[in-house]
Amino acid sequence: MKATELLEKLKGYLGAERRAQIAKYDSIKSVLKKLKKKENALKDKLKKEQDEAVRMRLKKEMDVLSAQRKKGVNVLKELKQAKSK
Amino acid sequence: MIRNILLPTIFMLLAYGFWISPDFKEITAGVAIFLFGMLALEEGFKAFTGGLLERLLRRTTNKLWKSISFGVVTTTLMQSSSLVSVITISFLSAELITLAAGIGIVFGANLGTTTGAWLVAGFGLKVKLAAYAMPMLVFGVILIFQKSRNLKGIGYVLAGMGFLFLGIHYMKEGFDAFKQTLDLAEYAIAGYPGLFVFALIGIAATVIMQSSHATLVLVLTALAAQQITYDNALALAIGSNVGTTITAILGAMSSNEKGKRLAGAHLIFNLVTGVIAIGIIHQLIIVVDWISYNIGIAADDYTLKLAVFHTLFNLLGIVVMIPFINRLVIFLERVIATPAPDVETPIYLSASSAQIPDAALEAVRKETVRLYDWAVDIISQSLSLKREMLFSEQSLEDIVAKSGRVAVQDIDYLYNRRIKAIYGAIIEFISHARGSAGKEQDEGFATLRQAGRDIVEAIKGTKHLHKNLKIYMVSSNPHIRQEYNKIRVQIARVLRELETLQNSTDEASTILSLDQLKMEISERDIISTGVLDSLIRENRITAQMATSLMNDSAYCQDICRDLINMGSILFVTSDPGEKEAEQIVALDEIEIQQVIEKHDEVKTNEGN
Repeated sequence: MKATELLEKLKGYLGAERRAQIAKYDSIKSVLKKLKKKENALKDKLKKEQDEAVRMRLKKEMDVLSAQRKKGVNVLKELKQAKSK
Repeated sequence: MIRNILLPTIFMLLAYGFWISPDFKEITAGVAIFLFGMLALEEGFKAFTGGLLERLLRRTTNKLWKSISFGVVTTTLMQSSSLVSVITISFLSAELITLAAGIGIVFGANLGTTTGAWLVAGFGLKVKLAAYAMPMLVFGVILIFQKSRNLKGIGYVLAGMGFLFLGIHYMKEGFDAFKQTLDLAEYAIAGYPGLFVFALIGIAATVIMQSSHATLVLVLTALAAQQITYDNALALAIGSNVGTTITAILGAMSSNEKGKRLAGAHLIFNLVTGVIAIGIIHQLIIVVDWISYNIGIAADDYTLKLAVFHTLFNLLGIVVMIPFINRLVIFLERVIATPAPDVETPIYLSASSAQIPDAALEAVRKETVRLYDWAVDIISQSLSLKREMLFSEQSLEDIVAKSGRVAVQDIDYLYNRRIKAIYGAIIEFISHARGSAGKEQDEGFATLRQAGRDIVEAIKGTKHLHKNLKIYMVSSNPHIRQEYNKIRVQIARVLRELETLQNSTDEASTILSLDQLKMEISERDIISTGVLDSLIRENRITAQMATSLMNDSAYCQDICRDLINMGSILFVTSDPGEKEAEQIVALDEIEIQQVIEKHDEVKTNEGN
């Protein structure tokens, strides 16, 4: 049995609350991954864009994305701390 | 297709008629004025709905004998059964009385109208209410200009009656040409066929002359000149009683189905009474002679005998018809059915799906999406933007700038037709389905109900916004026009983004992309950005415009927020775990404000 499979099995033995916490952690991580992907795509777009008005809009969009990611990372940290307790 | 060509065809036929016959022109103008009078009358009585008149009418017509007496007394006083009939039709259309009460009044009016024959025959007295038509119009129109709702109502009633009389007057004038050609001696036929022919002539004469009293005078003249026999004269009187219903039928043309039912009842009553009277005419003649003898009317005083006959056969009609009033009501309600309201009804909510929580949740979601779809229609129409343009690739600023034409929309009408029934059904369905739902589904129902509420709130906001939008988006002041166009663009942008989100398969375009929209809305607040102050300071807009703009800008913000909230519920990922995670990561108002401030700070630094 691989280590990851063992870990999954272990997760199953944990309580419902704990399981929900892990699921939440995984979901946020997945969302953050998507946001990162979107941020990178925006960065590429920004590099190529010449129109100042569009650049400004893209920058704003990136600001929002970065604020969302920051918020998500903070929640992940909190969850990690709770997990380790 | 037929509808499209019907109106132009009618117009062309009428125009041709006007061209070839001045009499036809006068008659149709009379009908038009008469119908306009009916509309005014109805408008007037609507002002009294829920007021003193309604209470008075309820009290005086809540029993059959009362409504019949009401008809007798009012017709005796007004000396016009037609007027009482058409007023009753307007009472019914304005829902001030019931159909059964209306029928009672019409029966009573038929009896009341016979007092006219008595007055003419007995005292040579003729009450002519029509003489008051002109003053009625003048007083009515003055009252219509008053602010008080009651005075306005009275004004409409007076003007309505004035127009009714004026309309009848024109119809009479127009038919005068035909009257000359009426020679009763030509139709003298013995026996029952003769009676029927004369009854038909009576109908035609009353329709032509628009007055049963005028027919009565014609009958008496013909009788005195021995052009017709006594029983043929009675048949003419019977016919005139049927013909007089034409006024009510004309009146019902502009009325709703309730008014039409009453006109139907009037026609049935007078037809049945007429047929019975013809059927037993010889017996009736005997009774008339007996009554006349006993009350001292001379055997050759046909005028008074005709009055006796008139009263007798109408009384007979009432006695015969009273037991059938309820059946008559049922019959008329079946024949003249209430048209099904043209409203949108739910298509996904079924009783069977309410039993299975997951299916119920999906049904509610689909129905709410449909509700949103109608809302998009209403909102885009109120912004004077075509839906296909709204969701095209074209710049919204360009679309808004080009569509300067105001499409005046009745948002209340659209709301009642498209939204209300579906929203109501969703709320009801959720209440039933929640009974068998688990915790998770229960939360789903609650959020979907919230989405529905957001949609309805957005429409309400649109309704308020629309009042000034339709004025200022075509204003001659370019500054106010520009600000209202910005409002249009802002709402249109939200609708366009939501459309993208709804149809997107891209993983990245999720609930989180709505944060960008939220930021844009906050940034465009004309109060916090100082735009409004600057417009006032520089005297570009008036104080009144500023107040409207301030309120409407707030409505615009609310509409956008409601729509975004709805979008964050309806158009998000279907994975519940991810949905929760997205909601956690989404920014709230304060966080969005912080992003704006940070962005502005960077911009200022770059500028320096």
